[in-house]
Amino acid sequence: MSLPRATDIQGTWEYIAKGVEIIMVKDLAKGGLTTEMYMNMYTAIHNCCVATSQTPAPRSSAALGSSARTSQSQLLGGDIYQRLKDYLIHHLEHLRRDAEHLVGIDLIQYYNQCWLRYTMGAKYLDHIFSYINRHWVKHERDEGGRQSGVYEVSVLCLVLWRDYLFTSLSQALVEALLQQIESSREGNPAQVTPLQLAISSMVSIGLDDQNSKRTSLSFYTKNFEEPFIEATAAYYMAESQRYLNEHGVVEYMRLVDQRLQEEHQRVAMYLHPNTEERLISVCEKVLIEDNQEIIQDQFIVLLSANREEECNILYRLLSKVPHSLEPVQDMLTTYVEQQGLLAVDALIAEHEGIPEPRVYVSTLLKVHDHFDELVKKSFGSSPGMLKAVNTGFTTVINQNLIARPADKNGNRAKDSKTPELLARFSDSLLKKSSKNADNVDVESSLAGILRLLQFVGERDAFEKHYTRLLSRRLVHQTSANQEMEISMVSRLTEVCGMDYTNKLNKMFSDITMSTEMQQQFKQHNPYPSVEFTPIILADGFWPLPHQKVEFSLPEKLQKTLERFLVFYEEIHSGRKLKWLWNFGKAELKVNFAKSSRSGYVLQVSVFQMVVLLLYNDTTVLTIDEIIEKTGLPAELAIGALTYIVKAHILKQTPAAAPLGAPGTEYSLNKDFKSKKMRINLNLPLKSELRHEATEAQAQIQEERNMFLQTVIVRIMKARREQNHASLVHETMEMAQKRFSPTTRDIKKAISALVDNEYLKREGTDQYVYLA
Amino acid sequence: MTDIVDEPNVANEQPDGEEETGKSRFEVKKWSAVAFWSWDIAIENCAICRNHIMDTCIDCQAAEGSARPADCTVSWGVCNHTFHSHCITRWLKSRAVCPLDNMPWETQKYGR
Repeated sequence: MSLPRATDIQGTWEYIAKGVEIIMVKDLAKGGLTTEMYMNMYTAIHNCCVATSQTPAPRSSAALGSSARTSQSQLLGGDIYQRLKDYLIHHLEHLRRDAEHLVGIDLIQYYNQCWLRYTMGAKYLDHIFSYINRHWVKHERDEGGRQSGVYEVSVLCLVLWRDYLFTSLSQALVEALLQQIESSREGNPAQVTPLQLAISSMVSIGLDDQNSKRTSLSFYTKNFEEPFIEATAAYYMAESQRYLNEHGVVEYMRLVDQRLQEEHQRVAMYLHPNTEERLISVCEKVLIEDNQEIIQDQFIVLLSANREEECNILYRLLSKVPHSLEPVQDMLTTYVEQQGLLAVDALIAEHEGIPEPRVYVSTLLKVHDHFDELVKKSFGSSPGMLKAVNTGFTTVINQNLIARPADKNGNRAKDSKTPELLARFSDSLLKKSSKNADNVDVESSLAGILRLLQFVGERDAFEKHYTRLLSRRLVHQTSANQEMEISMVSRLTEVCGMDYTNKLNKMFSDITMSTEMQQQFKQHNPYPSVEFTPIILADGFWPLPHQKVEFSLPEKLQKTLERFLVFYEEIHSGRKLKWLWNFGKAELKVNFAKSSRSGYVLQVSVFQMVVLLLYNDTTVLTIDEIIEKTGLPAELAIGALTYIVKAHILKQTPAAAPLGAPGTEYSLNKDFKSKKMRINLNLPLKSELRHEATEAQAQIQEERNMFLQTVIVRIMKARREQNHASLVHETMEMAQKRFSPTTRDIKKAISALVDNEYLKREGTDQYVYLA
Repeated sequence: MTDIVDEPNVANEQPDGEEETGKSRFEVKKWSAVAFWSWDIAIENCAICRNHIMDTCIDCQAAEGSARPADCTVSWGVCNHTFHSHCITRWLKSRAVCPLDNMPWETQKYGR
């Protein structure tokens, strides 16, 4: 077949049309276009364009007015283009007619089949018509821009597909697709490829009006995504109601969890990735947000049943909806509070009263461990949930019945005892004691205390008690392990800060220096009649109460003391010493008892020693004689006697009289015997212990007042002026780390500052700083 | 509490025989006592750095990790005014007078 004449357009088209027909319709697998035909078609088109451009008066087509106007441009091809377009329209209408009776998956299959064939053909056409693309089409588009309605052949094919086939089929097609998707949601395995193909075709024909080479998603969104999202919402709305009624909340949550996963997979399988966000958000809204209250209400049920897995699902679901976890967090806080307080109540019931600190601490730790674990396992260590647990736990630690015991009228103690109990427990751990044989146990218990300490609201109280107990461990040398002490202090730095631990470190260094000094004294005085080991501490760093006590030391001891004072004056100058006799102690050997040849050893206080040494010269003394000879205040003399009499070293007559009553006599018990060789009489009196604790509490109160005043001055110095409410608020915030002040405390501090002319009241509720 | 056998031996009520030979009935093996030391002065704070005189001077306080530096002590002038040794030494570099009474400074003694 020879090529048609270049000027014969009709002939040329007829010549090409045969090839076009093969390209668009024929089964290419059974031999498509030969290379020769391909070449010939290309040449024919080329010739035609070139030839017509050479004719002086080219034929013009009414439909292609623009090409007529630009005849001088010598770029022609519009006729061929128009004929191709007519052909494609015809072809598409034919395809469409065949689809009219199809529905469901058949329609989708048919559509896909046509689409594949059509797009493949379009690719070939684009090559064959590339001469027209390059010249005539380009020219037309340059001239007429978007309005020209002229496209490169490949694009033309898509435009025509869209306008002549898809538009009229779209409703039925989308319906069929949605039907398929719904059926897959019902559990019928869907055929992925047809759906994927049909849906992606909608993306391909979504041509961008601005730039025909690009596709725009708006066509896909409008034609498919929107109906799809709508159908999804409707489907899940119905399902959620039905499922909740039939299977209950827990099963429903599992379903939602699974549904969300499925929808994610659905996007990956056959939707455009852009749809994911909208799809998931509509699913989350319909499935979770619209039912959030029902789900939230389930939380406590699951929590109290310890259903970790379900708690986790609940958490994951609700965490997808903003703010929907907030009520859950509040519930968690309340639940932790309840559980913690119950655990403490149970502990009190079990011990029929206040148990020892060890048990109390381990109970609190158990509660904390439990919820800590829960946050990790069920709530993915979420900060929000952790905070909820911690808030609840803080209440437990500071408000439980052991921390704030109720008096007979049911009034709760104002200050929490927890800080003191923690300090006392750490003291018992760090003290020499047969109970703490295992260092590992001690370590872990101390770590537990530190953990609880983070939740203690009144940290200053803990610090106070800890310092007090540490000072006694150091002075009485009852600390079990220096290393452990130091490591505890360094860990306290993390919780309480450097300022605090610096003070503790000063105490340690005082003790070290004092020990060195004792060594020097020993070398200086190598053969003492009685060994004397004074502990000299810097004034102002130790919370040891100083009581000025006048009494007379036996001569021998007085001499030792004087020798020491001379020695001390030699190594230090400019110093004065203040003796804390109530912390003095001694070891006495008992040489009179018949029951022991080797002799008992008594551990006594200095006051007890002074009393007992009187009996070296006599065997009976009245209380008045004791007071007179020792020079001790009556109260201390009687205090010293308490344990001496209890241990039957001295006998009181009359035995029934109260200790130290006027006229009582104390005689040496020569028949004294004891199972133990070492007897400790140096025990704190109950009244002293109580006194110490109240003293500490009073000091804490005093320090808090000072602290509040400092904070207020600091704020006012910066602000110059401030009204009452915000001053109270700011003060409260700044104090929060140490303790929780009441409004009354703050008011008191403000009044004190006004009285001392740091501040001035102005108007009804304004304060002014006076520099 | 101590474990003490509770019954004194009533049967063997003896007259006071001085069976202990020479030894005292109670013999002190060793004893100890606790004392606070402080500088023998009436003031509380160092007038230069305003820190408590028993505390270290403000420079040592800032520099210190844990231990009290042994050389951070106190100096007395002949005027009987007292300061941290570090503080007064630094002051004397600019003016050789006591900062409180403006009289020429002469050290009476150092605390040790």
